[in-house]
Amino acid sequence: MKKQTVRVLTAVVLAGALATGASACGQKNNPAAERTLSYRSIWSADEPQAKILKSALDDFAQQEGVKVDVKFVGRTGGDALTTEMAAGKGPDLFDAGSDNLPAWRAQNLAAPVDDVLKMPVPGENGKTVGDLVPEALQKAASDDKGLGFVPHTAISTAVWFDAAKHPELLSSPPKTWDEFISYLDKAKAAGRTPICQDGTVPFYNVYWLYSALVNAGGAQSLLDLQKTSDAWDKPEVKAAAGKVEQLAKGGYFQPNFIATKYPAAQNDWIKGKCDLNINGSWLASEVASATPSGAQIRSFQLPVGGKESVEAGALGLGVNAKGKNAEDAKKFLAFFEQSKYQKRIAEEGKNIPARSDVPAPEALSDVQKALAGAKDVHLTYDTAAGNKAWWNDMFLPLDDQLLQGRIGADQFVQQGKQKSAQIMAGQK
Amino acid sequence: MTSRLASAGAVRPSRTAPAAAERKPLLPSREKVFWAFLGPALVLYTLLFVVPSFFGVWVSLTKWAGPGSDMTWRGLQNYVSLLGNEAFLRSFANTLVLAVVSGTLVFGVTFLSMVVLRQLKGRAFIRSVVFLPVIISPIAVGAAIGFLLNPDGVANRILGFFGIAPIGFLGPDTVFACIIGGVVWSSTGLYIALMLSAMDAIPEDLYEAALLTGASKWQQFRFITLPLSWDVFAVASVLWVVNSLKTFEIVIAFTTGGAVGVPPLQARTVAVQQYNSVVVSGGVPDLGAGAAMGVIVTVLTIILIVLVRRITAREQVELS
Repeated sequence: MKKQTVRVLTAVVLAGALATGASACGQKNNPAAERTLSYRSIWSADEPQAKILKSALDDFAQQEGVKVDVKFVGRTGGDALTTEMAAGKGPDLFDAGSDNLPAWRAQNLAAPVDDVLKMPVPGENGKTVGDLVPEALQKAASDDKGLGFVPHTAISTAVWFDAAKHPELLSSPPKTWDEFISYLDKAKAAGRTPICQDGTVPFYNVYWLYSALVNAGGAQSLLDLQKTSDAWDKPEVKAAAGKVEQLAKGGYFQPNFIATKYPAAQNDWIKGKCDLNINGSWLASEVASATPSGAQIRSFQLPVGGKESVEAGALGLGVNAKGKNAEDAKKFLAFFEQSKYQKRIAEEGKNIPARSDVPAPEALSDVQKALAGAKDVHLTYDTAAGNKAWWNDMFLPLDDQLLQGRIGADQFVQQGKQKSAQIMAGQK
Repeated sequence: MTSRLASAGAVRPSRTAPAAAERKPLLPSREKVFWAFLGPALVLYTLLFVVPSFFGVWVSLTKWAGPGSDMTWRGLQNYVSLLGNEAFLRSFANTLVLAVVSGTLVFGVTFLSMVVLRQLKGRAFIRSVVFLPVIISPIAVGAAIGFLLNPDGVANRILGFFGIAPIGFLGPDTVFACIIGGVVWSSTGLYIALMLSAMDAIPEDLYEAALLTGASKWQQFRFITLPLSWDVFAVASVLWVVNSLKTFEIVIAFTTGGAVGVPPLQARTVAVQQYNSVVVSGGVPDLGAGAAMGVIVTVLTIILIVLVRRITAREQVELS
């Protein structure tokens, strides 16, 4: 009896295996069933961006007859993505940004997508992706190998304020560094804390120095500091460090700001405990749950003169160089640039759409305007964060000391030059 | 005290490990089975541990951004660069300090608990409570840290009640001390649970005999509890060395709390430094440097384990 049962079970398993194999063979012979598109997203399923992408992928699947496989795994869910992609088992589409493009490129995982710029966007009167995505953002998604991903969202850095509490900043934002310092002094004299800073995050602390240097000096002015020691001797570097020294000595930050753990300071800012916060264009969405009714988030560029360069960073989608469905992946990139999805990025995602003809939410309108009218643009952190040893181990800690007032501009330049030379020598 | 207990025949030292000469060779038929059972495990261990370990050593001699990118030979340059890298040296020193200082505190508290909790009613409940931090998610810890230790957090409000000015607990100068406190808080429960389990196995009549001889609590701990739980302590020490040298989550919880970016130099451990060098986020991964750090920590771990094993080597004490 037992033997019979085993035989029957074996037969069933074999039949099942054969049937599965046969159906797989059948799929191989049917080109229509082969059209699939996979996407591994670092957005969580409950985030607005995930919902927008999901509905666009569903629309694309319906219109193109492509079977879409999408997984929203959250920020840390993508940790093993590069390994999977390098092994040829990754998704066709992945999330990319200006900050991590160098890493994707270094591993030869981001396929060139320059041809997408010439693809028409459905329902946009024959306009191509290249016509609709501004050149500054194309540049933010490019390197010396060409376009690395197609942007759907623009990101930038600015000084943020609540216009409901400080209407004077909306009507006449500071135009020069002196006017800016004058505003800080007035706020301080009135008993207010001028700036809230999440000081335990060095990436945020460095916004002051980075903006002071690159907004004035333009692209490459920060990046040059890790390429040649002589760049440290340029007067612009000392001038930018001098501005940060002035902020440190002025006592404009909240007490113990360097010990304030993210996101306490940005939440305190929106609750009105201080006037200003320097941050990325994601700030409004990050503080949404803490934002009091009636608050009117607005921003201005740090007024440091010079070239008045504006940071133009981008978030978008890249195509896996080892993916199996590159053509459909690229088609989707053009499909996702439709104004209906771009509007949702603004309205639901509370972000700046990549297309300049689609208005950003009011809180981000100043940044969008600054980007559109910029004479010069530069990439996020002037791409200097790409060199981890220089950025994480030397520049950020040194900047933290400057912002705390532990060293002055002169020491900053002297130590930065010396330590950069050491790191450059070690990396040869 | 020892002589009294020994004369009572309670404990006696013995060498239980049979000498190599006394070991009998396996019978040929059993040897076949031995290899059949051991073989798969040996193959898996070689494939999943030995080969990747050697690959890691190889990677440490190269410049490599990860799978898909070109690998360039650098020889010992990654190691030389690390030895001249202030951030790495700082993280290395922090790791050692954390292992030694936190270890002293963890085992100090553990021993104290063994003295105090032995006769206490409800010690099972207390053991569960002190074990709780071990299973709490570092993300939850991170959120709680901000709530407690921020400049306007609960701790500073309490200090303010006594007229003490707010302290920047999480600032670069003090955050590492806070991390050590966090490590002690989050790890001690595990070692208390281990050592109390060993203590529970000690027959109660030994303590009764000790009480009759007038032994104090400390003497009971010194001459009964510690010798009879020494083996577990030796294992726990090795566990501590391994765990402390890879301290990671608690540093993140106390500093960036999951936000983009890296902790300040003053708070970094080698594990944090290594992670920063290999993640895709915020720059090109440097797997060569990351692997070199891994090799250095592995060598350090081996040295410390050998040291700990030597320090904790004692003649085994067993009940007669």
